[in-house]
Amino acid sequence: MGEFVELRDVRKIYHMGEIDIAAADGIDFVIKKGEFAVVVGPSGAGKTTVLNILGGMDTATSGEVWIDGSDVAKYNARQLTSYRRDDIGFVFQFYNLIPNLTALENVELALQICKNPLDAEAVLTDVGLGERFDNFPAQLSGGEQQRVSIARALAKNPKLLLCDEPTGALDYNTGKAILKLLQDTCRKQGMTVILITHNSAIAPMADRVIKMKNGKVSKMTENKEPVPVETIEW
Amino acid sequence: MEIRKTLGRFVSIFFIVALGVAFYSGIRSSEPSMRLSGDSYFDKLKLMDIKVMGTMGLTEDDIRAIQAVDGIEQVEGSYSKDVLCPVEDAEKVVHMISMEKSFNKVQVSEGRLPEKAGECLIDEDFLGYGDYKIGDKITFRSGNGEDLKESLVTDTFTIVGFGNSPLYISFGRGNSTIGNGEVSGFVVVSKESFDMDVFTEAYVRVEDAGREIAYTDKFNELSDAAVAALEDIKEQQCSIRRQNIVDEASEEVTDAEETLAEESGKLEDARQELEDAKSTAAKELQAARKKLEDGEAQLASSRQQIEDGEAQLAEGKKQLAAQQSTLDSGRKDYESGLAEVKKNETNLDNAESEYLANYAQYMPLIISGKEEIAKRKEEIAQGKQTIEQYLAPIEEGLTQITQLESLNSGLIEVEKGITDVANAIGAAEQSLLEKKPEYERISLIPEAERTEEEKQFLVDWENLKATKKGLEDTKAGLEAKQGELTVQMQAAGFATQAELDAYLKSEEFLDQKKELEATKAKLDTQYQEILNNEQELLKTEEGLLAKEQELLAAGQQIADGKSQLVEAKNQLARAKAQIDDGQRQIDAAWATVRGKEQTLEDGKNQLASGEQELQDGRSEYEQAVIDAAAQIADGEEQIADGEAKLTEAKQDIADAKAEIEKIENPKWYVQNREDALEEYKGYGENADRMRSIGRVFPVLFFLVAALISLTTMTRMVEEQRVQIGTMKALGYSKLLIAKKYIYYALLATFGGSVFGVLVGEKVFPFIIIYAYKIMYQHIPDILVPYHLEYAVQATALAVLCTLLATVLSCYKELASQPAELMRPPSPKQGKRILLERVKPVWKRLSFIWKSSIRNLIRYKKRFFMTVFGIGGCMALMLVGFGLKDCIFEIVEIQYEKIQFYDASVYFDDAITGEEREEILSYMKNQNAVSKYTQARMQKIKAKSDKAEESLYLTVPQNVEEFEKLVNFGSRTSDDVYSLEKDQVILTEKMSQLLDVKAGDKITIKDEDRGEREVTIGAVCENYIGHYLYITPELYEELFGAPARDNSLLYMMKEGQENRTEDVGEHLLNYDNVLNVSYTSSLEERMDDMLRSLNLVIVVLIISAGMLAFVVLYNLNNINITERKRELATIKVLGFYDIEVASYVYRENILLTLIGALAGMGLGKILLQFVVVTVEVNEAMFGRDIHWPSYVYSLLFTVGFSLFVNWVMFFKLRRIDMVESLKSVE
Repeated sequence: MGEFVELRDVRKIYHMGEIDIAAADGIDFVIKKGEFAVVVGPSGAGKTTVLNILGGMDTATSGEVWIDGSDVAKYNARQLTSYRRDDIGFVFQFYNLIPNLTALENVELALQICKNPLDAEAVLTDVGLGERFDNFPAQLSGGEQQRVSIARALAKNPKLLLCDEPTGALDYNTGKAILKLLQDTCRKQGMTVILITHNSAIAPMADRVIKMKNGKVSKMTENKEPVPVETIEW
Repeated sequence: MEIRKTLGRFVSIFFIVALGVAFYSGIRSSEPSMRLSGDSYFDKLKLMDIKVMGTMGLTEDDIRAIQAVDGIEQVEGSYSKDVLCPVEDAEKVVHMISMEKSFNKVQVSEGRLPEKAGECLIDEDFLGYGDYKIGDKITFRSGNGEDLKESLVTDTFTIVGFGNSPLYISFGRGNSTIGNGEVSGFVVVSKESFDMDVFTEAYVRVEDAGREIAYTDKFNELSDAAVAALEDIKEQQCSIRRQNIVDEASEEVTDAEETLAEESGKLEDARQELEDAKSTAAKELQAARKKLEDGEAQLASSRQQIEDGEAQLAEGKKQLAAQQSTLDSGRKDYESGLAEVKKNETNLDNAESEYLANYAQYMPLIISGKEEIAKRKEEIAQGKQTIEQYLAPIEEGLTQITQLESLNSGLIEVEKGITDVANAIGAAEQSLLEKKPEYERISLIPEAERTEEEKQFLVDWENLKATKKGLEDTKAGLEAKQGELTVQMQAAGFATQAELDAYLKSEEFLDQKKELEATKAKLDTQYQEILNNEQELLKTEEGLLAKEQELLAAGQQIADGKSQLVEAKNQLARAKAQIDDGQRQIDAAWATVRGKEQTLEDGKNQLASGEQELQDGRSEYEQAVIDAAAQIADGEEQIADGEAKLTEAKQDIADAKAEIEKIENPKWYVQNREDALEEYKGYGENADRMRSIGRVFPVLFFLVAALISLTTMTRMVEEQRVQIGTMKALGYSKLLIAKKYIYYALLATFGGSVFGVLVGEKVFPFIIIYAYKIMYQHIPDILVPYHLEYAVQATALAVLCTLLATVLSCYKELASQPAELMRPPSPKQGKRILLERVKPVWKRLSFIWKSSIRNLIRYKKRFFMTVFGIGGCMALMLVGFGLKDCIFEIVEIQYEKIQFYDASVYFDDAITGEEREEILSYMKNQNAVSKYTQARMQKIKAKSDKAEESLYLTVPQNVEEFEKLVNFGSRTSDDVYSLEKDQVILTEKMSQLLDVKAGDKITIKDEDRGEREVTIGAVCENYIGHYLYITPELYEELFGAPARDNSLLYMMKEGQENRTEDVGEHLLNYDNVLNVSYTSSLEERMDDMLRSLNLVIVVLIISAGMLAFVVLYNLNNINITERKRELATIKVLGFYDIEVASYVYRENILLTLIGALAGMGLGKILLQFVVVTVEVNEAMFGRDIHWPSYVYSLLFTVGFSLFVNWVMFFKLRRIDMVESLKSVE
């Protein structure tokens, strides 16, 4: 308790026939409010499991998941939906925009369901898409789509912004621009951002780096002085 | 492999194809299965192939001749007869048929077959009418007055069993000419029960026909060939038969003629006898009559006498009565006179006593009065004298006074006069003096020269002189008088006047004068008083005298009265004597009258008895006359009868001869099964109807199914483009890659087809034939063999369709480069849609709606597939419901809106005028009948350029009346047509069959009168049967002869419909009324027939519903599968399950509604097509779907849609959010 996000001994065990596979095998970490946290690790380290559990898309087999004072792990399906609805902003690797809504409408769609949204146009302008409100996703580049996706997440005014490999489908420069956008958001708006990636090169820009391996947190470091995105190379 | 992964898809293709194929092959094979089921039943029961009927029956020879014809396998003569069977209180017509050895086997359901004469088996369907038991005896009646025993061995039969016959496979039993015209059942008896010279019909089996299936062309060909062969021998057989009959009849005629001659002789004798009897009777009667008349004359004279006597008597009585009344009034007068006399007498006595009293009282008074009066008169005279003595001196004194006074005044007056005259004389002298000069001048003037004035002056002068003279005379007179008066005065003692005057004015004189006057007045008064007293006395005296007179008069009166009274009494006494005398006379007269009366009474009695005698005599005579007349009439009648009979017999013989001459060749009716057995034909028609349905409905069904499986396969190939690309990149050949999909499709489709065929071809025909079994309940077995033909058709079609689609889409994909294939398909672009331009609407929509609507537009293929799928199912259901509407409404419309009449009666053309009149007057007198009219109905052929059909030519006798019973209206508009003189009205279905419309010309063919061309004036709504309505005028003009009415339509009054059959039954009693058909039973029959379609329609609706379900499920499945990622994403965004579901449902609901709407349009169009196809030639079905059908179809469709969506809800919940994290495949 006390921390904004805290996972305590979180386990996720899948039963595959006879064998139990632990995707998460006792994960513990904390993230403070307003931090830019990066969860890194190779494929199969349990990043996605952590993301699913944090994002309320899946439940932990055991353990506690404290988000802003509530134990999400104990939520039922409906509570989880509400949690996703009100507390979580999600940025997908493949943007996952609704193809037949315009950029603005995609943002507004998300806003429709949450309690105290931000102004959609303002948010879109903030992410740098002030002139592309009325474009459909197919008319936007990948980076732009990801910006829309971020805007959609931010506009909900969530407690936590979860990003799943946001640069995974983007080229180097665009990826950097997106990371910059995320970092800026974190800095300027005090948004807690958790970014999941296999690209450890990104780590230096984070306030906190959580390294995972085999379903466990292998190492958690706090970066006293995170570097600006521009300086990172990979 | 792939199938396992996409089991849902595989199964859905499998089932859609199965459903389509099952439906297609199933419905289509219903038709042959129906025929087969029928055929097996017919064969089993050895239903005849051909029926031969002869108008004069068939002889053994005929049967042999038929047997000899080529192609005839077997023939058997048979009997039949329509009889009336008692049912409860009523009678029903049953068709009695003989049991055949090798034809038309009867299936016994209870009991056994009749074995000997007098036993019968009854139609088991007839049991519905009455409660019969085996062992019951039934006595049948012929309906036409003929003795049943003429044609049957007995008319009472014992029921030995119940059963059914292949001749009657449904409810209809045909029509009859007896009873109410409707056959209600059949009765099977053994041949021995019939007692007929010839067979009524013969049943024929055609060689090889048994091997063919009934209703098929092959069967019909064989049957038709046999019919044709029989037609060939019929002429010959008929003429043989005719010759036989003619010979037989001629013989009979000859016999009859002989008998006739004999009879005619007998008749002549009888006539002679009668004549003799007649004359004898006449004579006897004559004598009797004479006697009677004499008696009558006598009676009349005595009656006259009595009447005279009576009259006299009455007269006498009257006189007597008058006399009596006079007498009575006389007596009354006498009595009143007597009373009066008595009264007068009394009065008189009273008056007398009064008079005497008066006289005694007054007379002394009167006498004393008279004395007093005389005394008083004396006193008065004395008084007078006294007064006169006193009065004389007083009056003298007074006269002296007066003389003095007048002397005095005269003197004064005269003195004064003298003075005055003296003055006047002085004035005249003066004047004369003055005028004297003048007078002297003038008097000098000669008279002639004097002027007028001068003359006048002279006159005046003279006058003045005269005046002066006059005055001087007067003065002289006065002075004389003065002298006279003075003398008198002096005589009186007065010297002068003054002295007198003074005396007169002296006191002494005045007192004296006053005293005198007073005394005189006093005396005058006293005198007056005395005069008054005298007057009074005179009056009193007069009164006394009068009184005296009165008294004396009264005395006289009384004396008079007394003498009068005596006289009156005398008179009265005389009158009484008269009256008594009169009374005596009258009494004597009465006695006489009474005596006469008695005599008269006796006479009357005598007369009455005489009259009675006469009366008796007369009635005796009359009776005798009547008897005689009756005897004569009787005799004459007998003779007339005899004559009539003779004439009749002659006529008969003549007729018979003529008839024999006329005897035409008897006719044979050679009928195949369809002509002979209406129900057999109906069964075939139902099969045809199924074929029609099978041609349209399943095709559409199949089409939808094929389309869906096609789409599914196409989508599958498209979905797997990456895999295809990879395989292609790996170097697999196109064929190899395509093979997978082709196998997949083949497996699903073929599997589905086989499954469909296996199930469908069993289930559908079974259900349908089962449905028809409601009507054809005696067909025992339902045979539903597989019909490979349809199975192959359906399977091939399904497989081909899907395969082609698969190959095509594979080909499309394979044509692309592998690299391109391995990339995800460029995502569909979001597009702005038209609706967005309508800002007000668009702004109001939520994003979810926006998205849904854009989705609909974006996935055009899916949109159209769904709309088509749902629309197709909706249309199919609508057609199912609509078909029901169209078919079932026709009966109601036909018999309630078009043909109002309750029954139609058909006459034989031989009907006589009288019979027709009788029927019409009967109809007229039926209160329950509201309208009726005659018409000619004739089945004829009508021809247009394109087709030839047969129809009923209907010629109303009275167009106006006819139009009250039949409505010529348009189906599509509210127009009501009227039959125009030079045009005809054709019913709608016929106009379609002939392909003609109003204004066109068609040719009608009358068998006898040839072809005529008519112009169609209008096409009218009509559903059952075909009619051509034509006015009698036009008919006559066309055919040159007036139409002979051969039918009568009638309508009952409201509420009296239940009496329809009573009227019909009565009409059937007429010889020439052939048949009565009732609208209600037609209606029932039609309803029965159509009801079996009901189940078929239910099958259609259920199948369509199933298809709708599968289609919806499949399309939804595709929808969800395709959009898994999108749905996962919105789940991640925090949409609740229900929100996610409604995101999908919105589209589905929209699609369902659009599809349903499209389906309504499609269904309506389709129905038109289906109805026209399904229709049989004899009827037209309705064309409109009723609104409840739309509602039902819509509800079903929406219901299915909701159900599918409900199932989908669980599928949606199972979507894993992790999907959203996956890359685009």
